[in-house]
Amino acid sequence: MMMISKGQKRKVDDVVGGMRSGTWESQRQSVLGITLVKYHRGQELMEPSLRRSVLIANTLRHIHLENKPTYGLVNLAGPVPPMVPSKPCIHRESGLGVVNSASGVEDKEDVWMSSESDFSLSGAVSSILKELDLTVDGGLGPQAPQRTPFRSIENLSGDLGLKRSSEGCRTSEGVAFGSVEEVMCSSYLQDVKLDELFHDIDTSVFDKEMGVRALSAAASDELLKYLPSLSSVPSTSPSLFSLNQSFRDLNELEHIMEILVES
Amino acid sequence: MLKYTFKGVGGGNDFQWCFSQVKGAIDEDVAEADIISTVEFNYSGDLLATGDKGGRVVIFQREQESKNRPHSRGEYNVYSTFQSHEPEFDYLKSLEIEEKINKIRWLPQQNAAHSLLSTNDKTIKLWKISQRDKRAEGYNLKDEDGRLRDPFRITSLRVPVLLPMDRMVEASPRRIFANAHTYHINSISVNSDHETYLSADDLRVNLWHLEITDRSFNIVDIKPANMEELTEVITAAECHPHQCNVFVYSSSKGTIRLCDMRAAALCDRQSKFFEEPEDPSSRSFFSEIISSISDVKFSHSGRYMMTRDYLSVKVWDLNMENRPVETYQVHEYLRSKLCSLYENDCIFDKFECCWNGSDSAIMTGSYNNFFRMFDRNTRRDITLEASRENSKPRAILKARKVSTGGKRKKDEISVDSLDFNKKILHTAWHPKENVIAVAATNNLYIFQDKIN
Repeated sequence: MMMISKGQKRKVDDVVGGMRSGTWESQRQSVLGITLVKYHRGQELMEPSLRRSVLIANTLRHIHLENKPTYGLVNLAGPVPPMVPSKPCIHRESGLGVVNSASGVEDKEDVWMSSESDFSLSGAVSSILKELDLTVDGGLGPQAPQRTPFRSIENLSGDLGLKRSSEGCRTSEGVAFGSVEEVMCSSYLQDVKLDELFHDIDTSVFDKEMGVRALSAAASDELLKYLPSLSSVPSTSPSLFSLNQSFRDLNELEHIMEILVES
Repeated sequence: MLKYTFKGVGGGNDFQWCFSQVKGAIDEDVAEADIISTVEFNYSGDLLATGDKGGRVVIFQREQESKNRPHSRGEYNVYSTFQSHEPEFDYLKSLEIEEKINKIRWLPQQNAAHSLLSTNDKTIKLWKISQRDKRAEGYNLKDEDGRLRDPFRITSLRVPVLLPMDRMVEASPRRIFANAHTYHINSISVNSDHETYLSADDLRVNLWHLEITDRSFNIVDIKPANMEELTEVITAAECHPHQCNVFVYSSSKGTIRLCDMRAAALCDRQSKFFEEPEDPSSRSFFSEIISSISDVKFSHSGRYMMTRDYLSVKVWDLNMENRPVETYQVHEYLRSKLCSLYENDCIFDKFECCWNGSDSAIMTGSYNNFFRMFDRNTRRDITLEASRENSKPRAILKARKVSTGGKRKKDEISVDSLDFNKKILHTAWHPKENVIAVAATNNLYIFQDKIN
């Protein structure tokens, strides 16, 4: 069993969200990383546990709400899975404000800026629950043409996460696509290697019979094939990438995903 | 030897817990199917049922006390074994339905046969266990081997006689309550009216009549219209022991709702809401996860209820909703290890808890095959271990201690040495005597008190 590194004693202040951003922030990052790993692993479980998924989703939300303004790059300490990007987005400070408490309904403006690892949070959280609804409830649930992001997280402005555009990114099919699409959108803006995000997807799922779950993983893998073309984004200047190009690729991808999911 | 005092329990002032029996394989390699998933005494305590991950139910019966050995209580021996649930495959959703028995609840005995409810994630079954130890001989219309006799050949009538035979125990499924739960069933509870029972899954609670299998009443539904808004699930539910209109259900956010079925058909609005305000000084990222209630049990008296969350057991007075009346720390030393326990998933373990017959003591399990008992009157507690090393007949159990400070005393075990794979999730206390059953993975330990 892996224990917290011995040198790091957690003080009471650290977790109350005090201003000791060093240790607290690194613990937050580490918990966030673990949570994202759990989320992915949970998708591969044959026996989905709604309780477990809800608790993990809530933990993600708490981590999010506890996000304190940091002033600069954060060094991650401790064992963090590679999916968590090591550098925050360089556009973060462009006046999008500071995350504090959720208040009211925010305007759903398209925010292409994102920070740190939060880009996949809203997608991850919705995906956890939507996935379970699809698999456990046996249906597609309410036939909403568009899947709305998680309300409470959505209320947070600024470096919250990725807001979807009104088209192109949304689809009602393919839950795995939901979280993956978030990743896709954000890849143009930060130097994240998309491959790293899928490191923990277990391709041995293909050997199992094709159920909804296998389909999700298969869909993810299909998506992987398209990644090389998209991850050729130069990592140093993401902002040079044209949005038109990205939309076109996304539409193409979405089309493929729809075929996969409907099959 | 540590002596532990339970005043007024079992009639004695001083007693200690002794090993009585252990059931199960000794191998180091544990077969997954053999892992015990539920333990329950019946109303008299003469029968002890266990369910396992392989869908089997094993019932032990207590032998009558022998006059030759007045100091040793009757032993529990296998009475019946049957396959309650089989693995299923839901073709519609492409999901396997586990055969693991989540809960067993006994029905009150109404005739010579015994009945119990057993459930897996989706289906509840009512099993009748009956025994035959006599057979009839000397029928008029048929031979000994059952062939019909020619009526014209019968010249005289005789009265059949009952002769003893080897005891034969039969278990047969009498009712199957299926297709009422979309989510995984976590609890079943027999009502005090002995006619109905409730079953609870992650989002709904249903009320059944024991005689009717094709429909049930949905009495609680917390499923949101949009699943993405789901933040809380039902974790356990139980009927009040005396008031057949009252039941409680607990949630993953550490709250308990008490509902009165007379108030409305759908009990979405609770009559009482129990929640302890969070202690801001102990807040962490894991606060919600560790507040998730894994078990809720009414006291036998019906005045109190007990809840188990990850680190503690709380006793609530039903008349006081804003905080518990008693809180017992089960393994507070784990609080600083929550991050690791989150990582290895142990933080999601669901421990159960139970009352003794007089409600003066409570018991719950922990890791490293430790289990804890708390005396509500003296406020003393003890940690004991279920292990093969302490398995000599009538061996007195030694109190165990986990060292939390720097210096580890002799016989203490340090937190880092605890085996988190050896977890005691299921325990049961005899309804009348000081006999306890403790499930340690694939072994069932039975301990009794030793009257000095």
